[in-house]
Amino acid sequence: MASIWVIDTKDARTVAKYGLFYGCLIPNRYPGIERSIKIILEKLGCSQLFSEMPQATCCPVPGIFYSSDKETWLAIAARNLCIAQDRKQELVTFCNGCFSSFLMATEQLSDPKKLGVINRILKNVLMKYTGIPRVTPEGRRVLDPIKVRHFIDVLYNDIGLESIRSAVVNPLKGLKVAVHYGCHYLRPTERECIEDPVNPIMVDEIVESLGAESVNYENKLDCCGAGGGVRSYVVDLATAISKDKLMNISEVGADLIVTPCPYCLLQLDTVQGRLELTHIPVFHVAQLIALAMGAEPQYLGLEAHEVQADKIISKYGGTK
Amino acid sequence: MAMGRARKEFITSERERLLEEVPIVDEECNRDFIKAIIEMGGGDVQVCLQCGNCTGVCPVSLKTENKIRNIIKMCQMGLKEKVLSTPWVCATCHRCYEHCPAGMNPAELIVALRHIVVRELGPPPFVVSISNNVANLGQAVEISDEILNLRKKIGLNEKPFDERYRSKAIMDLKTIMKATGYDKLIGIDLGD
Repeated sequence: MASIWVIDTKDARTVAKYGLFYGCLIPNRYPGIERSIKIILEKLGCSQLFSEMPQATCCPVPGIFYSSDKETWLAIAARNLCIAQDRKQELVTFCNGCFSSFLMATEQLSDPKKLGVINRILKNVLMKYTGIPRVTPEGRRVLDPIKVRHFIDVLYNDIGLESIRSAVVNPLKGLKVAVHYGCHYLRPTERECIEDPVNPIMVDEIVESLGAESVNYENKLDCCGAGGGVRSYVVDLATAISKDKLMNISEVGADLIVTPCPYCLLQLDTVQGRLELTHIPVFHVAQLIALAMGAEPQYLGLEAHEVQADKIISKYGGTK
Repeated sequence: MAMGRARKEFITSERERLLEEVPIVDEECNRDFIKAIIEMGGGDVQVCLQCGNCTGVCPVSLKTENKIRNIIKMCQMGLKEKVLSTPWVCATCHRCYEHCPAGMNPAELIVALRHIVVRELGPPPFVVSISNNVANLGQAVEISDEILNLRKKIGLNEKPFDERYRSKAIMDLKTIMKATGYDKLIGIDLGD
């Protein structure tokens, strides 16, 4: 295989099926999520299938780069995709923003004209995006685009609810969880979707497989308010949109909000710290799974969250 | 704790932006504006039927005077000056796209408008600062001392990234940004 990216040989030999793409917020703002992911993969006995991507950078954030220069956005995204390509990996994200960015990028790179433009830019950094070579049963050589996966999709479809259920040691009995999916997990549907955007079930079923109850609430599929630069540009508007959601969640008496996106987590958590109207802790799905799988509560990194989850931790935390 | 029905909040902004309140004069209509929009990838703006479905599901339209349907109409009419103050107020949640009977993608139109704003009026400050972070750190989010400590405490490497890879990655990003002219567009200094 014509690999242009020079990595040390030790790294090149480690061929895991999935490349872990943590993005920006997880390592730099909510490291508890990163720790939780590692704990989960260990408890599920499948950590050998995953490897980190130390060469990766910001996806780059679509609200900034896709919104100001599509070419730069696509070239930086393609650079990250090249890393997965040269290790023949599927790229797994834990953030709706990264997921959306990469999915959009692979779609655009399937246009040969755009691919040419981007590869001319990538030549400057000694890279080339082609896709992963594969030989079909008929003996034809084809290039598959990089598979971009959301962690929820991998958990639900590749690992399976049964494996998750059997790794649970602290069933979260009696915990009422409000699931917030987030926009870029669901939309737009012009590209390949993870699941039905008007009736998503995967996160709810994962939550229930941990023993908790997923409660329904009004406007469950609505935006957290932060995306697309709104949080940075007009903070009052982002706050008002989040407030609607939080009021609906508090109305149904949820103990916890769970989301598959660290940016939605950031918004729903910090807004509560500012408004002090509701006090519902917000977890990333990985943190909740790690808790149910018996992770020591201090590993969840909950100090980084504004709304503390002491009640939940004292009830469900610790290995039993 | 029993809570009353959640009350929706409305964020007010300059009302004069509302199309129906200001009479439009011919001189305001910029015929070249639609060409610029198409060039930036918002090409399907002309198929809008003004049904308003997008506006009914838009989290921003429900809270502010920035009604997406009005923005589209103003684009069709070439009311450039009126439109250029609006595009950063969009969560790009793509609900508009899902509900558009004409198959238009209003969120992509907003992205095209942002491109025009960045080129003609300059990027908003948060775009500059986040672009700077990405160019200099490889990441959009800066890490604080507290998080470095927390990382250590929970058994992760204190630094989220391996320095050997990091410096090469940052060099790559700077090279890409120079090759596309992004540094000049946004006004960031990438050094030599």
